Amino acid sequence: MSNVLPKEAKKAAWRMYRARFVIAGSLVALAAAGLSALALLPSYLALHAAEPVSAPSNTAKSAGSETDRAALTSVRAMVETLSPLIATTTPAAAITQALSARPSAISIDHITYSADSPGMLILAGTAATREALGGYRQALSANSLWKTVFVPVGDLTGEPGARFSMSLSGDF
Amino acid sequence: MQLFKSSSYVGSGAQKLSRSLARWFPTPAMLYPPAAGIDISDGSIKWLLLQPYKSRYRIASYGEMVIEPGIVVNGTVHDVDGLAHALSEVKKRLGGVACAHAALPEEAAYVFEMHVPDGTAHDQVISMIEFGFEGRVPIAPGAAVYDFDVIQRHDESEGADIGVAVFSRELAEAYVAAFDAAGMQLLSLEVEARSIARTISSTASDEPVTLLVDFGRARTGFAVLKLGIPIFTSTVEVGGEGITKTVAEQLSLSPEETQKFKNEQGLFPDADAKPEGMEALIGTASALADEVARHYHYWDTRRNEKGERMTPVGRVVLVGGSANLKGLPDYLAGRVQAPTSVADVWRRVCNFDEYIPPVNSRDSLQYATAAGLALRSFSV
Repeated sequence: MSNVLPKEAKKAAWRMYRARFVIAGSLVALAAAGLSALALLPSYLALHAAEPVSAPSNTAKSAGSETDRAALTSVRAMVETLSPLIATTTPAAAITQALSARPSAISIDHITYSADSPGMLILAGTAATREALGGYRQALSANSLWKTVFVPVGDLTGEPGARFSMSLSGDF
Repeated sequence: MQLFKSSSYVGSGAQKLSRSLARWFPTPAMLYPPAAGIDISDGSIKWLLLQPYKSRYRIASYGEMVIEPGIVVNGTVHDVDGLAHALSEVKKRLGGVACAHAALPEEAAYVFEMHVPDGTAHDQVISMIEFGFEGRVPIAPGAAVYDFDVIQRHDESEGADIGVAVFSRELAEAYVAAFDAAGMQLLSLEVEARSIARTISSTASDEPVTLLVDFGRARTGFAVLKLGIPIFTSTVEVGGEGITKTVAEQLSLSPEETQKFKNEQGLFPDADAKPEGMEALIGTASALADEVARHYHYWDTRRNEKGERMTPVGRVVLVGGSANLKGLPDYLAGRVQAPTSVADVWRRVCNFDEYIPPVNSRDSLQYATAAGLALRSFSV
């Protein structure tokens, strides 16, 4: 369509369009940033909620070091805080269940998860007694969530306070 | 061909697709603000604002405001501040819309048709137009503002016909200054006939050449439209005001009664009508018919070097507030021996099955320019 506006007036009109485009683009970017912040907010709150929680009494009795206890407490608090949001996240639920079955004589300091089919969870830590480790394995085997619970024979027969590892597999 | 940078030529299929897409994914008002069509004449400012409604549009705001005599004279702004004040009053009635499209008067326009070869870049077309000024436009290119619309592209790479509109820069800048002072953003200026053509043209490729007659209060504008693009414009000092005055004086009628007489008796009065009024009507109608016939026959009989008729005029279309004179289309049709009709201004604005505009068909003829300008917002 022809437009006989003088050049300066045409430029002014284009400046207006450009300014509006920039404002609209900025608003879209702001909205995207807001949505991103909203998506990250639960994780942020969970991290901060985990910090002030003090170690529960049962973990105090465990044989693990103060650092390990603190880390475990933090993970547990985080899992508890996020549980309403991650209720459908099976790996998190699986970790929670694996940790909840743990007797006080068992200390877990390392958890590895691999999302294969079936999923694999490797727990590593120290067992105060062989009986405690055996009992922990039996408790986990009794749970239908786990397809297999494997502890190396050497770990089951190890010295009291020795390190162990445990492989758990299942649909999570 | 790159000349279509500012082209109005879009295939009908592409137009339909574009319209469908626009309906489903409308450009946000924030990016492409709504703009009113504002028609400024010597005596008044008429405005019309459209908004999408169902398959077409509905009128969001319209009206007319009388302006003081002397602010605009023969389409030229003599008092920028006065016009700005009037426009700021109009702006208050637009419901927050601050953008506008406006038309420049035909009296000040130089409109002509040119042929450009295939493959001509936009900048080259502009240069060709500047060369085309010689013998056509008595203004230096530096003191002019001009642009073009593509009328049609020829087959076999024979180039395209374009319609060029030229105005004096000073005139255009006065309009821009008035809108600026009124706090309105002027998005476009175009020749008045192009705005009217937007409302009445079907854009069909077989649309006949149209002689547009804008029968106004003080003057009558003529425009030859080729596929909806003006290729010629002129004005004559024949208007409906003369008829109104003479009829009112000779029949001693009030302005309302005079209007009623013109609309309901007109050129085909009842048997008991007074002959004095008829004489006034016939006198002006005859003067108008002479001008219509003169323009019609000139353009209809133009031939090229091969002896072919270049612009066979297929119809005469009447717009303007004075075109309501009863019997005028038939009277003119008899003189020029061509189909003559009063324009349907709402043709491209709305579908009457979906929406009835608040302006009746008689009054709508005064809003033809404003409606065409408002349609520009929707790339019609």
